Amino acid sequence: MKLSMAAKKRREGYTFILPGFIYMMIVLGYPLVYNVMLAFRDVNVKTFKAGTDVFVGFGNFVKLFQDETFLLVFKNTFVFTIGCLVFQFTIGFIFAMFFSKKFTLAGPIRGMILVGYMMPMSVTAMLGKNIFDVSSGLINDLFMKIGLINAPVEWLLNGKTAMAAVIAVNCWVGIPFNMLLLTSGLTGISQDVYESAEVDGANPFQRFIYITLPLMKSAIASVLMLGFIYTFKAFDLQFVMTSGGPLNATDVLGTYSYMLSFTQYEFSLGSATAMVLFCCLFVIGLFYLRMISKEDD
Amino acid sequence: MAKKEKMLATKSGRKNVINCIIALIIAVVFLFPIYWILAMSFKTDAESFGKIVTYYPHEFTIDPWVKNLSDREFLNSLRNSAVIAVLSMVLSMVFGVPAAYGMGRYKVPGQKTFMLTFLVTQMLPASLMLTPMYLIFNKLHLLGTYQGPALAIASGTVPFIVVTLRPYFKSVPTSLDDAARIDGCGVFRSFFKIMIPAIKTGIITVVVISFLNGWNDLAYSMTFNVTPEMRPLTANIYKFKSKWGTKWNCIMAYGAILVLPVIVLFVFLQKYIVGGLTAGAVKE
Amino acid sequence: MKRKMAKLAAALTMSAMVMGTLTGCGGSGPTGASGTDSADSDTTAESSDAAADEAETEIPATETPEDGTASSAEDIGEPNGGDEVRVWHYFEHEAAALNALCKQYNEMQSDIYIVPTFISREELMKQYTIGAVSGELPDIGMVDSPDMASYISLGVFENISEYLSDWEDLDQFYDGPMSSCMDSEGNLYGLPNNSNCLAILCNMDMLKEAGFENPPTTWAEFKEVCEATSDPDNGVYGFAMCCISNEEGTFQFIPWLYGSGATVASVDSAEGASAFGFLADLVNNGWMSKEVVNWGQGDALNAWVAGKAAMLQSGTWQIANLDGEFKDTVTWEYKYAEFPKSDNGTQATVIGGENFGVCAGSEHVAECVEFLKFMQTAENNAEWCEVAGKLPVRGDAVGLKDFWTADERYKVFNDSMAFSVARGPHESWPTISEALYKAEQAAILGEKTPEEAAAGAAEVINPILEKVPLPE
Repeated sequence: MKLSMAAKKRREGYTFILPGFIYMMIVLGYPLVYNVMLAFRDVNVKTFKAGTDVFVGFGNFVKLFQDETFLLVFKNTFVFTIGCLVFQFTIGFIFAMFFSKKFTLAGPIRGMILVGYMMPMSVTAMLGKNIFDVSSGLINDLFMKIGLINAPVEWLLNGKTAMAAVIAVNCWVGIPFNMLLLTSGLTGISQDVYESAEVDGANPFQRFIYITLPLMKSAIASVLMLGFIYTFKAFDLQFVMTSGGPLNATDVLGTYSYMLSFTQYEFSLGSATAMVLFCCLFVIGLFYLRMISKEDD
Repeated sequence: MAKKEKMLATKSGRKNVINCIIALIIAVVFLFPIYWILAMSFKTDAESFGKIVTYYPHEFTIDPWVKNLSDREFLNSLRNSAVIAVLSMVLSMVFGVPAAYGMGRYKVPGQKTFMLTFLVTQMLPASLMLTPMYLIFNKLHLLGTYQGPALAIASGTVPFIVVTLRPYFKSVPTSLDDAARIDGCGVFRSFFKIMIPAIKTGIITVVVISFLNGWNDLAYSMTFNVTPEMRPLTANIYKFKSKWGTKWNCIMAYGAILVLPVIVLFVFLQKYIVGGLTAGAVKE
Repeated sequence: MKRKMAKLAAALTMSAMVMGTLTGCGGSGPTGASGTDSADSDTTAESSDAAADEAETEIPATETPEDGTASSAEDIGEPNGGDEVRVWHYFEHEAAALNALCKQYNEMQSDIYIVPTFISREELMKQYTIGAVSGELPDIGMVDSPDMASYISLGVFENISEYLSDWEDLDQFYDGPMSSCMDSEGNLYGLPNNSNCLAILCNMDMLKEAGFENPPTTWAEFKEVCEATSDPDNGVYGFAMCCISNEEGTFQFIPWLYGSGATVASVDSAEGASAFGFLADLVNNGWMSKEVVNWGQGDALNAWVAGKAAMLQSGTWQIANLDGEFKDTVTWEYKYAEFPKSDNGTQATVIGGENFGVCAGSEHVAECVEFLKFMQTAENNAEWCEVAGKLPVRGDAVGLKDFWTADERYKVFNDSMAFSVARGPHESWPTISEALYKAEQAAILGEKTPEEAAAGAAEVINPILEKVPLPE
């Protein structure tokens, strides 16, 4: 039987696409479904071993949302994410505007400062632990030298300051990344628009408000959403830098889920926590997908 | 454009200098942590432990590096890191590149669903996958192996490759593979002989980033490989932290060695990496 | 066989390499006690010199064994033809003594060949839990006594009652340690190996300089000594202990909890709150570093050895450290003292110790039990305790040596056993323990008032004890 040209093409296409797609379905899809099942059962080491786990409906979620620690962790995740977004977006935007100017070192330095983004987060986190150390840390030493503080701050022993430190370290990675994404948005704006505005007598601030922002609207939205997604699922940073401490003050949903599953071996509670994390991301993700599929058309 | 640039630069030479100075300050601030890791790693025990914070090694020593590099356990973790990174990279390429090609050059029913799947899976957090994968891998006896973490890491890298390379494949002119067809090349031969070389830059980008994804992984390897001898450097940071105690010089030398490949790749292949980051994160 | 030899040879060369490299960078130095840099440049320069000296002379190189490194044939004897039996343990400075014992056993029989493997405590606990799921367990496992009950309930250990039923020595074992090897029906899953407890280790030079000739005997005196010996500006504190977020933290908290007159079951009583309050006061007054929440018992000892603390909450086994690696470092006069009495006259300490059990799924249960019996004969137990700095677990071992009473330091511990409290056994001990150390940390870090901390712990603990109470 001779296949039509279109059918042949289709078969070729599938031959290329399907292995990758099936790989994703098996390695990611199945665990994802399994995770949902776990979240509605009561699997822990004991029941897993004996095979006596039962369906508990929303029991795990009820348990979590009645737990003080979980609620704190839930709040922390948002505090961390929003804290990071505010700083890394604002500063990232300023940097993007700055580096889009034409000067000799703009290109090389813009590329260079991205190296932090490529470093393993675990090393960055270890460094964070070192520089925020009370007695031998760089931050305390520097702040005391320039007179910002009089006595060493117990950064990582204090809930609030520990969160600030973690956010600061994350921004070191996040700022260059935000800058990079916003730069590609900025380069899309034609210089002529600015020049004609300048001729019309618009000052730089007006140009920013009336030209840059409106033209960057979709780029800004996508950077913010992506930033949210990447920051909200943070794990390595907190895990290595503070282990979620002191007293869960820097624990986020990712680390807490790990802790429930792999230090308490309450697999179902861990899965349920991960589900909460997923649902939050899903809402943002939907917006993002809707936006980019609009652009696609 | 180039002419205009030149004009602008000469027009405001002073502005150029000021901007460069500001840029340098920014660079100093952002590269300082890397300097700090290196500086700490060349300090003596006493200096790194001392209550006085020194900003450069007053007494230079390579001891911390030697101590790490002559440590059997360290070398073992280093090997694990390399194996896991390469394995996950190969897996990702094998599944990702053909899929990107298929998505870029063919119109098949269900394409939207495929694309959506790849876009969504790219954003899934590792912590969501840890528990179910752990229990599944346990049943499949994949815990404590290189394959376990590699499979899991690749599941994040494959969609990245698809999203990144699809536009590259799209941009290759159809005349090119038509010519190949006429020459009698089969579909697969033209894929390997014509298409892949045609998007060399894209391929370099995804190879580098796939490797780094595996090299930087902490969550998967730490969870699936519970014995320290199977863990890569990232996941053994904890162990070495307690081993070196407060000897920050040794800890930082550990970190420096872990960062080194990243910096080397970055220095030599910067444009590919940066390009890849943008392509992967923002759509096309 | 050939492969095994090759493996052994490899392990040998590697451990030799490791020994070589560790001597320089091995030990965890005194963990940076938080302190203020003085604004005066002269004093800061001095303190940096002091730090430099410390780093060169005072930080000893503890040879921390590698995780997962099996002992070499050199230490445990050549293979004797018997099947290999894997023993997992977390003994560090006691490892040599354990190897010697294994060597002796390997040479006297050929049914099994004992190969001990060191795995750090935390890692080992993980391995057991994971092993319960995946079935990958050693033949014999060492476990911290309060954790044993929970591992028994997970099925990590094999019921070995029938193998021990006709062993007449069993009567000689003390009830406390023995009960930690049993399930609620009285079945045996292992044998206790050693006991230890906690006491207060005083740097007498510092105490005397502050005007105290003797260690404190009451909580009030304890605070006075702390106040007089503390110098937070130079990172010197009156007291150091371990309040880390794991079982070690709970272990070190129990003496204060029970000393206050409260128990685990009455942690939310006024007495219980006073225990949290006492420790929080130490930190708030600058008599104890806040960093204790990150310190394990080893870190706390390091701080004391570095002269950063006048008093230390110290365990029996640390005498061996003082006689060994720290022998030259500790140049001052020191003295062990019993725990001080609280205001209502209660005095308490905590009993610790390790058990060895045969793991589920071992193909050599009977042979393994024989080895455990050999380890725990009166002579071997007494010998072991002397080398490793422990207290024996059987009555007839006590009479074989006299250092428990002759050595002033051991005598303090021996006498303290009279008022020492066991943790559990309870199958939910890990959960109870977590509630306790978290509450302790909350109080110390000032996140909660002592009362809130106590109430928070009780909220977790009480419902558990309502279902299954702690043994009397």
